[in-house]
Amino acid sequence: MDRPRFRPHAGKITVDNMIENKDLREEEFLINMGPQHPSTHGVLRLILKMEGEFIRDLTPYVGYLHRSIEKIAENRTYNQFMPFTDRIDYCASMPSNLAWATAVEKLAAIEVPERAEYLRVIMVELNRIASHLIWLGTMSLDLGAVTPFLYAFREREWILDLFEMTCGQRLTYHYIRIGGVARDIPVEFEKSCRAFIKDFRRRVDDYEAILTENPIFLGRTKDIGILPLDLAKDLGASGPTIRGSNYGWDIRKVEPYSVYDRFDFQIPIGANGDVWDRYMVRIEEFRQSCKIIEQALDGLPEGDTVRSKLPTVLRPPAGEVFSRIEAPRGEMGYYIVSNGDKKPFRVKIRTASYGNLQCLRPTSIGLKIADLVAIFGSLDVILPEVDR
Amino acid sequence: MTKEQITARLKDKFGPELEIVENNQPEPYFYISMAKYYELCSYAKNDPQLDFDFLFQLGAVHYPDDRFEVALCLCSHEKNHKAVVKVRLDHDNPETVTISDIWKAANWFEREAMELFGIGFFGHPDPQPLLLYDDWDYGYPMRKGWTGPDFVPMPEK
Repeated sequence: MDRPRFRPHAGKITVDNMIENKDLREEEFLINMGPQHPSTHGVLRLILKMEGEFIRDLTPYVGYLHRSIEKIAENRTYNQFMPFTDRIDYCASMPSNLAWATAVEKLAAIEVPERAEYLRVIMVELNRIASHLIWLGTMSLDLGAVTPFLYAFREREWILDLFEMTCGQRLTYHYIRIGGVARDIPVEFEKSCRAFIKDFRRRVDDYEAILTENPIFLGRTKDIGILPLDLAKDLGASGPTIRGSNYGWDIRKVEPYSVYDRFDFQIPIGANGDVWDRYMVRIEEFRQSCKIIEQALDGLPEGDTVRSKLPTVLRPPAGEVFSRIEAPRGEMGYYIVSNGDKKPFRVKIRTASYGNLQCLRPTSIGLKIADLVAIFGSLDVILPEVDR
Repeated sequence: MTKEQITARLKDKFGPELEIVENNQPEPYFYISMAKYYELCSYAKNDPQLDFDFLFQLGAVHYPDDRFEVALCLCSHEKNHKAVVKVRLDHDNPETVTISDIWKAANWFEREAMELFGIGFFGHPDPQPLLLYDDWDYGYPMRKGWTGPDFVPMPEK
């Protein structure tokens, strides 16, 4: 059997000859990154046009997780669609539930019991912490720090236990319903939640001790991927991405929904919109969320009504509604067209990652692939939200 | 600005081309004629009083045998107000102009509407499919009454 043998090149193309012949030249080439690349956090595919190690152009290709949730919505009743909202952003299901619930409540003018509003705020803020913990873990893992990943998932476990004792689910909660929440919290929830907040405040300091002033981390993040504010607004960026660019825009403050106007919290903003600023915004949001949860637990009204009485088949009046909330990744909203039937006529889902992902191209051109990984981590894009 | 102020300002500028939708929502909703669609978008973005610098979403709606609609949800960061602008498109030949040169965010929304509804956005800088796979050859799935090879509609009770 003939075995393939190494054969020296027959021609005269050696490096020495190329330099002599002036054949050595720079050339642009294409690299395919993803859709199964570990740092693309899901199924994003990027085609990079490289010149040496520098990115000259970049095209994202999305759609690998497209499930046509908008079409599904047209074939389900309003209540039946709620479990599908869990799957839009599975790292932050509670805010997705809340966005759908608030939109339908606005359309059909449904009152929500006050205790349910407080429970919603507690759950959504806990989910915000859990979602940011995934971001912290995976982004620092992409940058080569393994320890914060393990720490972050340890803390997230506690939050998932809290959710499990409340609604029985650990990932797709389906807890917030139209007109309230599914059921009341168990008696041991408050004690465990307060213990978590007390513990978690200390943990955030730990993360900061590992990362914030770490010279390696600073070298990878400071002045990398600067997103100017004008561009951020134009591209539809929202959430921590736009707040990192020195702009205090948060739906919880500027257009309070639920009972957010009753709590005292600040909106952290970054200085010049680089990766490190977006990191700092999210770290500070950990603390602000803790503050909100504590106030909500203190002010939690007594009572056992957590869901208002609604007809079994909800038929909102004909019309349309546009509503938005602040999800962990930014503004999430629904545009619903109703024709008075039990099923929505059209549902358009606007998610935060859709706008944030469009910021990837302008921020990473001219930088290296390693920086692209840092920028992509800092934008905290989740692909099921983009593809829906 | 309040709902009434936004409506009045746009009504002054566009007159009969603007048709106000009566509802009890806190935001104004209106239809603009096809001819003035681009002009209204440009005015809404650049007018210092309106200052709609953020395109929240652009979505298409299909009314079978009647028309297509494109609905824009506009927001202003500085003024903190919102509006919904809609434009009616012809059913058999749904076409309009792109507004991705006014708001860059419209780029992907328009690509999505192009792919899923078959709406043409004249002058779009990158009219590529966005979400569906490369070999997709089954029409425009978000249109009402669409059927595909594996599509089973929900049974009616």
